[in-house]
Amino acid sequence: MAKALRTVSQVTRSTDTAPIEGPLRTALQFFPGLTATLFILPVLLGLLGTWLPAFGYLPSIGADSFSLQPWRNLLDNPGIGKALGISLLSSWGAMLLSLLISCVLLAGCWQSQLLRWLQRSLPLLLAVPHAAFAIGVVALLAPGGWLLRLLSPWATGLAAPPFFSLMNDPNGFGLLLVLTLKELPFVLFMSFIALGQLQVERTLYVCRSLGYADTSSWWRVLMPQLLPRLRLPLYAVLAYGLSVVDIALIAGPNTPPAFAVMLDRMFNHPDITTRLTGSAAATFLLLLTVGSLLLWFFVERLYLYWMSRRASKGHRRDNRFVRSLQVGAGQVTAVTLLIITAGAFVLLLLWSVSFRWSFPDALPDSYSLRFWQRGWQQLSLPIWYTLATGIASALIGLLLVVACLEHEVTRRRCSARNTGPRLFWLIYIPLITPQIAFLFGVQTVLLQVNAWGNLWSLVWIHLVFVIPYLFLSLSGPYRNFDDRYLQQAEILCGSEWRALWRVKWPMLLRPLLAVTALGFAVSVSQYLATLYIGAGRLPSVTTETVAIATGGDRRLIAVFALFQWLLPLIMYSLALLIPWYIFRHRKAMQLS
Amino acid sequence: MLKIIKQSLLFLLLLWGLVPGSNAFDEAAEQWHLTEERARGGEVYLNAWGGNEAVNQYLQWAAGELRRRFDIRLTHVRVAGTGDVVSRVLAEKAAGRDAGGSVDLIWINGENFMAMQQQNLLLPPWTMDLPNYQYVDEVGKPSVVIDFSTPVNHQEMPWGMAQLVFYHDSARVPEPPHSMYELLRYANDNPGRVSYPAPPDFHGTTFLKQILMELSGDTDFLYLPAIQSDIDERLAVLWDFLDQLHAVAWQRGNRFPADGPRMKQMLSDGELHIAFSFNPAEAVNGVVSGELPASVRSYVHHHGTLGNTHFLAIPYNANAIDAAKVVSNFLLSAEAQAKKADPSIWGDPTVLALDVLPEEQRALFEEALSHPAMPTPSASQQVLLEPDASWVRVLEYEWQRRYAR
Repeated sequence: MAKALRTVSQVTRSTDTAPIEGPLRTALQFFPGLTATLFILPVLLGLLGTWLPAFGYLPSIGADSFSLQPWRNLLDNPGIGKALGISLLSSWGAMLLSLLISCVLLAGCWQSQLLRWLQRSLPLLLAVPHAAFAIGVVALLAPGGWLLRLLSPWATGLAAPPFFSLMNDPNGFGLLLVLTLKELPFVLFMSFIALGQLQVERTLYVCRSLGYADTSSWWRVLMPQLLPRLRLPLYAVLAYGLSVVDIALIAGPNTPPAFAVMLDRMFNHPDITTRLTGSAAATFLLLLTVGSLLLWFFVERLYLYWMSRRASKGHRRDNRFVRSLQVGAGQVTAVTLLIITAGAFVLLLLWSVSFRWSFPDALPDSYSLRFWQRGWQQLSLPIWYTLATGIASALIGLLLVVACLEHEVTRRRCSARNTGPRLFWLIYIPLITPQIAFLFGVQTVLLQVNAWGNLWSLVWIHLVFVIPYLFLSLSGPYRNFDDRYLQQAEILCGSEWRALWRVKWPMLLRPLLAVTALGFAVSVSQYLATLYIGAGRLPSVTTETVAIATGGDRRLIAVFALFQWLLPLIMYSLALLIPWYIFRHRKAMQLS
Repeated sequence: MLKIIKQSLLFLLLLWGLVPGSNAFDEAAEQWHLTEERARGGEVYLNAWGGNEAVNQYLQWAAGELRRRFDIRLTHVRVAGTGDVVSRVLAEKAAGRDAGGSVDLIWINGENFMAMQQQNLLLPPWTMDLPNYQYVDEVGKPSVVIDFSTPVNHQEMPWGMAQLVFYHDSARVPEPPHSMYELLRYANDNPGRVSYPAPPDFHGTTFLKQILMELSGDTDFLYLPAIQSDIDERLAVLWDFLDQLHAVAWQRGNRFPADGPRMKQMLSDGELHIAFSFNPAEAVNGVVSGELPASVRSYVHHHGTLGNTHFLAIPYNANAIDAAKVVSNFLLSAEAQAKKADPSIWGDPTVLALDVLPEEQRALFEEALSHPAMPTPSASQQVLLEPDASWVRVLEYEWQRRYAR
């Protein structure tokens, strides 16, 4: 461990060769190392705590000799092959589909009113907690769901739910669909950030002058530049799809379930020795994830190589039909996404105030507010814990990420060659590591140092997941900020601090607040981390929602899911309203 | 003179000490009094499944009473499954935290209990010290001392009785099937409307056990540990039945509901015609709360259905052991048990022997209202004991090997 730390600090130091002046700048150079160490440490420790049991070593249950038995037990699990198939299909499928749809949308609808509108509502879509979204979508599309209730019996002739079902199918297509819908806003959001670094308009202008239609310039020129910039977000999507438990439970199959669910069951199996098998499974999931990421890396390279070969060979044929199909498909998916999300939200609202709602009625038979009352009764305390953890981790995360980015920008100013962060990919490890693979280990370590079940430990663990998302989404706007503003400000007021406070950060207020809200949303949606580290002392809205969801009362589940949805929604609204109020007299700072 | 008085007083004092008045009973009462004193101001974290609103509301009532009477703060840690809690206690042991643990009471039974007992994660025997334990019906309800073939050994306190109960919407299904063969016939007549949760969900595994109990002529082998060489022969009848059932089941047996609560939703929508639960009052709770249509009724099979007991246990490293005992004793009181048995509250049958209870306490149970969706009282007589715990793993494994790969 100590060795790893030393390597980490060495790597950080070796990248900071450029001379940096000023007390603020000097202080800043410690931040990347600090951030990386603080937040990689638990992951590494946690992984160790999982790898040892995977090879039969867990002294507390009397397993104190190394063996391969856990791996043999894992392979002996009935249905493991199919479970892996389901996980791979749904994660790869969701990643590829959300990427494809994003590209089609960008290529087909760039500059359209629809896309601009979608771009504005993206933060709201991103705020939707995974579990709440999945619950809403399943309630909408299941055989007894709202869609069929709206259509029955007048259009379908059904008096009872049909035998056909989009959700929970044995092959995991329903899971794929929900994951795609959930990941699409994220991929799109990241695409917009990445496009900020490309010169889209100028590229299109040049291509137009060479006689290319915009859609084909998108595919030929812009996508090959966009794809490498999306690598990290896509890794996150892929890794998330492989390790997600809650969505897989709600929308996935159970004959057998997805691999992550199987793994989760092993960790909760009454037979305690099954945890050894679970550790082996977690390790295997990590390998599978790394393998998938590598594969995607090569697929992306191969695709880019193929594209450039095609372009340089002079292949320029363009299919007018495919082009118009793209525009149509893009529009349809964008509208579908918005309708499904809005539909899920309205449906949850309806269920939350219904008392009895029988099939196939389009609306509840009778209404009641008692479930909101009960929800409030049970959630009044968890809401405070959730707010405290979320706000603390979002603000601390913001501070660290801004400090790191500021340092990076400074370095860029000192030496033009030193632009990208070298060590910083470490910060993304939590994003691509299955949570369950290291949380058990983290829990043990925290227990040993007596730092368990308190709010600060929880904030720390949440930061592990919040920081990478903050970094992913803030780095674009921050790197693209025109340094000349800051230089002018420094010249005029003579203080770095004042220049940052009075000019740069106010100008970046909108993205700063948006990522703070995102950080809050990431913290709110943490289930396993809160469960393991909170020790039952710090219930959150999410842990309560998952607990109540196991009871199957749709009205209560709707109330809990809405609470889970409303908290980030409030933060995002604030992130939109505050700049609107502050900049109400500054025309250039208003949204076009 | 003074000396004499002093001496005689001392003598009297000595005599007082020898009087049989300070018998074991008083001593126990004194001990318990001390426990209650030590428990004052304690905080008890009861880790219990939080999915059922009736249970949540009941525990909230109990928390209010405990605060008022014993100055104890009871916090219901609502968990998604008992396995989470077992994991937590295990992690605490792994980290060497042998005192001051995060769990004071855990709602548990069956396999989870067996695992915790085997791994020494539970407090040494303690339930016999509870004053209210004397009324527990050890004779009439054998499962309060043998939990899924594991001797309870006073390491968990019986809290309530559970029995597999089927329910149906009488508006759709006027005459429900009263045995597994009748169920199969019903499924044949109404294809696609019968199913059960996929094992290892415990409702699903229970359904398999119930089939096995009903179909095997001689069920003695189920009460002995499963023998590997025996399994195929013993279970053949089960797979044969399931193959026939799946052919006419919901989604042709290619998919299964996730769990009992999901079945309840599907019954409510009319997607399934028959559902089942381990809580005899599940249907009543559902009707009262609007989850289920008012025409839902409960029943059990003619040959009886599986029943067991659910318990409260204290982990070995609990932080508030005395307070946890006082909470347990209160939950075992006739008052708390009668309230729990009321179908409009929770409807969980009591573990107490009503005929042993003092008259005024017995009366509490008679106040509990009956409800048309409750199974008939005679149904609760037909309880089949849970098979040996080793069969659970066998059934889960073999089922998954056949139907989930």
